[in-house]
Amino acid sequence: MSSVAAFIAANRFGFGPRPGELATIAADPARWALAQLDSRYAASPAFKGLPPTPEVVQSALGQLQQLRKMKDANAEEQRRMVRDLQKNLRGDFIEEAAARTRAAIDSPAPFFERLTHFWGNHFTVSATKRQSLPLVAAFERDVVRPHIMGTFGSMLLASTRHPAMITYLDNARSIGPQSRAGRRQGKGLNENLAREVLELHSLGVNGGYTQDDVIALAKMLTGWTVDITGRSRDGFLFNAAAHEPGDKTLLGIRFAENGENEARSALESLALHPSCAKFIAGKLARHFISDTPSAASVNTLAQSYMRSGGNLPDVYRTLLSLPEVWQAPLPKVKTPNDFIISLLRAADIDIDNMRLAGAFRELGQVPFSAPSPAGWSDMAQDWLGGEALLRRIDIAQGIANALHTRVSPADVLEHTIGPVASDTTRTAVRRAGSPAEALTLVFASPEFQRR
Amino acid sequence: MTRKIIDTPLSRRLLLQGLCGAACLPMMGGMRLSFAAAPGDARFVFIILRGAMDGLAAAVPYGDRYYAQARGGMALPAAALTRLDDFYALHKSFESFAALYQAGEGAIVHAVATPYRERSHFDAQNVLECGAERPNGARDGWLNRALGVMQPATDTPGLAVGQTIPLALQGGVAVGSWSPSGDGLPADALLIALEGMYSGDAAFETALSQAVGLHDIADDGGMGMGKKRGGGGRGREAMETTLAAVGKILSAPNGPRIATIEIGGWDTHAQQGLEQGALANNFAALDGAFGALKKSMGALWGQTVVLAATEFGRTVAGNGTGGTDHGTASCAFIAGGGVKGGKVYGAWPGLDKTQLYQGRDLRPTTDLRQVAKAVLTRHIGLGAGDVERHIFANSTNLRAMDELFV
Repeated sequence: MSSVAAFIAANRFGFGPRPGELATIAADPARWALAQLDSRYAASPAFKGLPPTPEVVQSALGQLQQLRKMKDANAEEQRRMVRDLQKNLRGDFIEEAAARTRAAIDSPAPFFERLTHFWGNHFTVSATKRQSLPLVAAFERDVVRPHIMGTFGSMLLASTRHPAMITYLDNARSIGPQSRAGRRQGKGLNENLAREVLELHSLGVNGGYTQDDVIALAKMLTGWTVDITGRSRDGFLFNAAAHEPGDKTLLGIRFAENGENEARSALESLALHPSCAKFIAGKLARHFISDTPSAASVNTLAQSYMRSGGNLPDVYRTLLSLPEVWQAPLPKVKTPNDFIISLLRAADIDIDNMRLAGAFRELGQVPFSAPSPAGWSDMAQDWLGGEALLRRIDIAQGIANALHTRVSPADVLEHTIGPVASDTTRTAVRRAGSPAEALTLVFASPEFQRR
Repeated sequence: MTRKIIDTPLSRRLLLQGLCGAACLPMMGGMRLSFAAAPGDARFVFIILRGAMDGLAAAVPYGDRYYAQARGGMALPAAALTRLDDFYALHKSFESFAALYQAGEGAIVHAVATPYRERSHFDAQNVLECGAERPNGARDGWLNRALGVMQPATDTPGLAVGQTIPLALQGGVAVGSWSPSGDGLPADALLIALEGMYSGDAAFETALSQAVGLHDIADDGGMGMGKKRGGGGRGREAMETTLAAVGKILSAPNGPRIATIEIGGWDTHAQQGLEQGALANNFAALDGAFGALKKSMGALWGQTVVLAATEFGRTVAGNGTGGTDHGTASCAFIAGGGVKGGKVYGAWPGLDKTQLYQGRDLRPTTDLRQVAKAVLTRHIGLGAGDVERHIFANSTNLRAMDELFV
């Protein structure tokens, strides 16, 4: 295959090549991507020492208790305690965000990391909600990565049970009005999680459900809460006292009263719904192919999903076999997250955690911090504003300044965008006034920022 | 130098090669310009006060007989107040706004809240910005939906001041962003090279030319181009510097119609201060924004409205750490050429314990959407039906606060 195919593989299914990597990929670009579909990549050395979900829940509870103790302290002590707590939280978060980015930069399987980021965004939990902040990184490690090579249904179930999702979408506060707890406390349903499961996680906004279906699923999900005892393996607890009794009807299917298992069955059936197949197929195509993928590609992906019962590796393999995937090399603009990782891979340099965090903040895409449950946008128009482009150029220049004495800009150009570089870009780089400027132009070129 | 009307995008590259002097820079950068004022020229600036502003410390109901008792240690002494009438006063940090109020161009709406009645910043800001009745009730922002109805014929119909676009301005209409805290434009040599390189890619070319255009205008006719820019910090002066530039961008012929500005730091759980302190400094920054916008909008101030609002208010009583906790109603500030100012609007709910919401918060008597609806219909000129169909769903029963406008 041509080296254009190597460029396509390295960028469409990865974060762009490291120096020399294009030549390796060129031997068989499709096989390079296929070989990464392996569950052993769920683990990464970058996560060494980071806590699993139940541990995170316990430590968040410990912090809450400390805050309660504050009442007895004087004002000066209180300020110090709050400061220390915030510092710890911020420190942990920056470490977690950096670990996620390093896993992507260093990975031998960048396609697996792209899938991680894709599913992490599909099932958004965000640190913008303070209560979810400590839990969001563990969600990606414990929910997303282990299920990338499984069925969509298994990932949907794991996501809906995780403390980060339950907290982020308020399910711990949702109480069946006719349950024991509901009657005692006079509290009721919170539809948030049910609504987002239907709209954002499974069927999509036009997937054919109604407000009655939202309420039915919300009732089935009552009692799904966070285990604060630290006894469960995954941080989940079913609280029967808050569960709404009685049969429920979702999308015309009747689910008999069955406690925790009602929502479990409901999620299984949602995952096998044709609307879900279409919704996931469309999102995958928009993420990996183009902002406006062909209907033929989306249909083929949806068929593969339905045929395999939502078995994700089958769908990924179908994606790799689509003719459209190997055609136009540059239809999409990389998100800030992917642009930063591309730069650091291409430059083959490391930067410290604080500066890494600064770069993401500067470009407006801090890891684990999407602004709403809908997640980050996948469309170029949302990322290519004027100010945003200036900031990308700044970052490109910063990396170029750190690098230009050690490498030749012409080499970097060949190793990154060589197969697709236009004459206009080549001319601009050749005519640049200095190596630093030439390198800045390579990193800021449309070809480097696209895929 | 006489101003020429330029109606085609012109590249900065040509310009720097000497086709035009620095004096015509504000007309450049790919912005399509025409100098005739046209209907639909109205400008609207929405200042989002993130963190929940203590409305009782901003617009102070000192005439309420329960004021001192209800606020306790948070009650402001007379020395910290600028009286507006026998009942209300402004915190004395509001110098420019007090002048706007006296001039009949500034008004306050008190005891105002979104329809959200819980106390999460995250969800409340979502409601404030998406304009629905509940969190995530809409995926886009009400200001973007307004732009969708307005359809202004301009390259940058909406402008976010800051590095990212807040939800309020997100949606189907492409909007721009401008920020004072970056490093400004790249050096000229690099900029020329970038423009050459992007000439082969329309999306990148447009984005760069838009950025160059906005920076040139903000940089006072391009005299400061390429220089590292200051500003972007907090406090009155930083805000005035930033907003002077924003005013220039907005008042440019055919400039953006709707802009958002975000001011954070209102979550004053501890040591918020009285005449002075953290909250007073934040008030001064907000005040600076109003003053600088009036000045820098120039002749267009007559067609401008600035509205500042927060996601919810704070508790009436102070807490044990010299601050206030999450509450319900707060106040909103509105100013502009067409505003019927010099008045505090909204029914006053009272501060007696029995009058408070849940026994602790200022009770809301006005829905913020009533203010927003009036801005959209009376100021921007949208039809009430369009506003109810496309911008604020299920708001037919909410009366627009039309009395805010002349």
